Amino acid sequence: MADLAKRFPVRRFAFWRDVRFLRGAVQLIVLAIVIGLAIWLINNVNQGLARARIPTDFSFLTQPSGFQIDEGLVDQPHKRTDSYANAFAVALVNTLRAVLVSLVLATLLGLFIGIARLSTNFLARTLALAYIEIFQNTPLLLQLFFIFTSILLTLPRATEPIVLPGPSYLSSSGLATPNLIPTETSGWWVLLTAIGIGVGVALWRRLRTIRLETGRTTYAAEIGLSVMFGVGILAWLILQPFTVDFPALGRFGYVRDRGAIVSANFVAIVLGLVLYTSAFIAEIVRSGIQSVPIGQWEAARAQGFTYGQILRLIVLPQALRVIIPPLTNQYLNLAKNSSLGAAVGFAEVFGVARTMAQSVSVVPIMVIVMGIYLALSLITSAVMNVLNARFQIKTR
Amino acid sequence: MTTAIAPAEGAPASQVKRPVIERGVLAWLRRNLFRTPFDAALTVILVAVGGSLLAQFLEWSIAQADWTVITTNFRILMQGTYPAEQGHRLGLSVVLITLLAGVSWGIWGKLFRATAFAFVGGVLIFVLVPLAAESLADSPRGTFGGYVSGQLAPLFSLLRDPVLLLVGCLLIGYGLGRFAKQIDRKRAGRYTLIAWFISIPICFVLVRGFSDADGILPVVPTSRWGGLLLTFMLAFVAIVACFPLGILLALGRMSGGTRKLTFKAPPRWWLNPLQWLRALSIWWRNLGNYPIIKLLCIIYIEFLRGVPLVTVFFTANLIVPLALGDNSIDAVVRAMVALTLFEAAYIAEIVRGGLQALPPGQLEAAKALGLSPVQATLFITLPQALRIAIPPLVGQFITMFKDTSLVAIIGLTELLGVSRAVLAQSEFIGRHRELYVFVAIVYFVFSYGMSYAARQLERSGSGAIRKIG
Amino acid sequence: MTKQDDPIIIVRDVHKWYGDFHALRGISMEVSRGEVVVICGPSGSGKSTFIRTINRLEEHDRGEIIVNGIRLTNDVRNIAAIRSEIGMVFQQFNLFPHLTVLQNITLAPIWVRKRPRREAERIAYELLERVKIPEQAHKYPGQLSGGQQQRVAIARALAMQPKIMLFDEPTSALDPEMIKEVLDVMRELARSGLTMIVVTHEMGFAREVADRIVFFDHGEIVEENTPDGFFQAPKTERAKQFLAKVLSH
Repeated sequence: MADLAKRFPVRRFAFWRDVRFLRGAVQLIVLAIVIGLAIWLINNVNQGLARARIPTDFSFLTQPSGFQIDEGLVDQPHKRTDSYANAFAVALVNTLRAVLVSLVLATLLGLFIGIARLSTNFLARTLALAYIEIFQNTPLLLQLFFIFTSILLTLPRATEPIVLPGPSYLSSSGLATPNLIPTETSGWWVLLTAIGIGVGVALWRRLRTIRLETGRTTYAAEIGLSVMFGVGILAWLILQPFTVDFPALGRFGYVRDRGAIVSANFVAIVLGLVLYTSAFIAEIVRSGIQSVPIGQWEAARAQGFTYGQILRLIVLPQALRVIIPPLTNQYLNLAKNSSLGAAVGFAEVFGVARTMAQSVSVVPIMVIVMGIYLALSLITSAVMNVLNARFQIKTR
Repeated sequence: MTTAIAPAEGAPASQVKRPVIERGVLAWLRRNLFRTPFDAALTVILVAVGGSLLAQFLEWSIAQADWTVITTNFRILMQGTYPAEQGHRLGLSVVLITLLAGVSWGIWGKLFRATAFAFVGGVLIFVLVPLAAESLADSPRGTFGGYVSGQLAPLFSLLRDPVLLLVGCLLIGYGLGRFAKQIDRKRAGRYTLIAWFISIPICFVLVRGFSDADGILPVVPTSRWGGLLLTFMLAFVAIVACFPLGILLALGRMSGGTRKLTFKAPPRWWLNPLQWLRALSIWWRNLGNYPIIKLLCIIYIEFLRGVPLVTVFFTANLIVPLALGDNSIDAVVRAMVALTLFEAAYIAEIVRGGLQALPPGQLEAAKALGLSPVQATLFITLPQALRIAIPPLVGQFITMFKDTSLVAIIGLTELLGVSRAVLAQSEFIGRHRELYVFVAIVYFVFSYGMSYAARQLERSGSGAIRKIG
Repeated sequence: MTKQDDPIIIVRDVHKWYGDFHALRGISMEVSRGEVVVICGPSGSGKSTFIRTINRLEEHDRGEIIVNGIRLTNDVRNIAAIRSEIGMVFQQFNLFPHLTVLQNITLAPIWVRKRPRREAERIAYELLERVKIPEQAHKYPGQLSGGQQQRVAIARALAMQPKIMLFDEPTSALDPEMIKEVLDVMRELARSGLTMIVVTHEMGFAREVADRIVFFDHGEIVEENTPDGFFQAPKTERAKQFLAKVLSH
């Protein structure tokens, strides 16, 4: 290459024309602007907080909180003398309870309504459409206010509750349902059922392989299923692993420690979240099913599948590929929307934080609150991404 | 399930008619409601359930509801404490925006006969009911006549003028739009877009004013904005401000190329610190040519998308006046800032989706022609990406409209917040159902209207994209 | 075709890696002015990567590339100068779908060369005449056939009056009946003395128009020859296998 160096001497070009330098320079300038802005803003905030004598550290977390929370997994989860940190923990547990229950119910309801939207029955289609349009086009907060004033406040007292099948009781003190209480034998039952399911699945596969290789009918599915369920049911009858604890009505309301009791506020926030989010999930399910090419339906029909079978075996698995990303979005929205629980008096993270903000400075509280929601969002995204990857159709 | 009926002997084939049971109302009923026994049972159940719900609602509405809570507080619900004598400015803004919306509809949308009938029908209801009420003025309470004259009529006559104004402007604008479309479609479209861009600042100035009390447009500070007016102003300002910020964030997140290096993981790689370094270096190189900008944008976007909006409102309420060193910043302005920053993250993700949907060859062709990165982005990638992203963008704008209701939690008095204040008054305690139903209808009308417009836009947009390949 | 002394493109020992994958392994080549070079080879052999390093759509990791006396380095001015000498035509046409044909062609002359609009449009119309579709000037690319789109892409590249034209499999995405019209345009360009580097599988075209055929395989230049020499008497085994596959169907 010496001849090249002679014919085309390498000119040291000015560094400000180097592409790499320019890229670095642009970034440095942007970084400088951002950092400068951040420093100026943070400085202002600090000065303002100091002037107003608002503390900004996290030392308050160990102090007694001065308020109590009655909503939680256990009775009296947080008393006045418990620390602020405990209050956060209790609030987080409440948020998780509400979010998890609402996720499951909203998905089921949304699936149901989404399929109804595609039904051949005109009434089913129209009612589903009306449901979706109404709940999608009104704000969630409005729906929660409505539920609070028109449902929650009108619930009867616990001495004369609404009776639901179970028996369950719905009143202003909450929803009391029968509860399954594990006994000493429940551990054995779980073990036996797990073994039964494992053996059943193994038997099923073995018999199916035999059938595929030899052509003999082996009733693989029937035998496998009956083993799976039979062991569980037999073990249940013999061991009696759970006793049912029915709720009872006392003179002043629900008897404590009888049945599973959730507060009326819990019911209200779950109801609000489920009704709202299921409308969006229904639309997602509908467009997911419609994204499966109609040729799939036709080919399956030609082979003699029924409507239910087509949906279950052919269409829904393909639709799931399209459904999961927007569904993830709705799940994240649901988790974040739980912050509106204060509108129905539910003690979740944001509501409890607002109570705290009356006596402690807002800044560390909000840092913790936002941190909690961020963690919640990131975990949910991660889980759903794993699911999403599993459902992608493998291409070359 | 068609059954053929053989024609009578000697009748030519063209005279064979479809059997009666195959056409008309009966056929439709059979196909849509009673196809199978299961279907028929479902229909019966749904009719029973739906019917009883409807009957309950009507019974409540007629016998128990007292709609005076709306008629007495109408001004507060619509504009908060905005001075009544300046109300004409609001009317002017409404006319401007609705006319523009109508013109846009005329240019890019289609007015179906059904929609036109619905409009005319709706307007007629608002006109006829008050007229009918006059003849029923003496009916006692509790009867249908009393209901119409005592409850519905005042409400409808109050709503009649706004509804007439809205529908009228919409239809006039539609006519103008169609007319302009005949003349010169492209220029009409371009002028309309420009009109939208300048109309929102104009509305802002109209509503807020700029002069002192004696001038032409006395200032009405944001603290006096309330009700539906505040809802719209919050939404408009946030939409206009978050859009450019979101585009910048999306460009920042997409900066610096998309070549991905994969990390081939040897077994039990996490035990070896050298492998960690390798993974880190591959992650850093995957960030592209502008890693710092990309990281900053990613942090901003993921942070704001991971926290609920109420927390952002709540924090901004405290932080914004402190950060800008100005304690007199009005709560409304703080809410606008919070909403803008929050929604910009969502807009950024939507625009990023549009950018990713572009074929990478477009940018390459632009580079090969010698266009600078700025020129390539402005002329080639952004126009195409935005066009692709229009449907989800409009959906996000509609969501923003509904999200303004959340400021009720920090005590601001937009439509939802002001209804709560109204309900707190002693004479209206307990009338929450009527008021919330009314507020729900208002939100529904605007939200459904905007998503209807979005669907029309999508249909015409995809047609346009088909045309331009 | 007069050839000046200095080759217009000099490539010396160019290497490129994608992570651990060695895409270009020591490519050395010289292209004279007015020469038409056809590059062929199996897919994945690095042909497209190579011509994209010439106009800096890809960065080469080692070696020298000198175009028309300008060394290709990280200097933005050099890169811009080199790009203005080179026009490129892509397999997927890459026309800008939101602009008309005329706007596609005039965009770069107006904004990069800073030519007034009238002059840019005049040049555009001349080029459209040259590729034989002047009547399509105000249509959008989506309304044209594939062959027409590719001809517009050629006109768009020519609008910058480049000294060198790079073609990356220009006819591979076209229906068979449209390949001829694009090849006709390329033949006319070659006859007019333009320096062209064409990556293609169209062996008939190569035989007729090329001054030199370069055979790539696994990131290296395996064989270089005149068209007649290459097609009738390939020297290496790999070239023979490749020709057997390509010419048999």
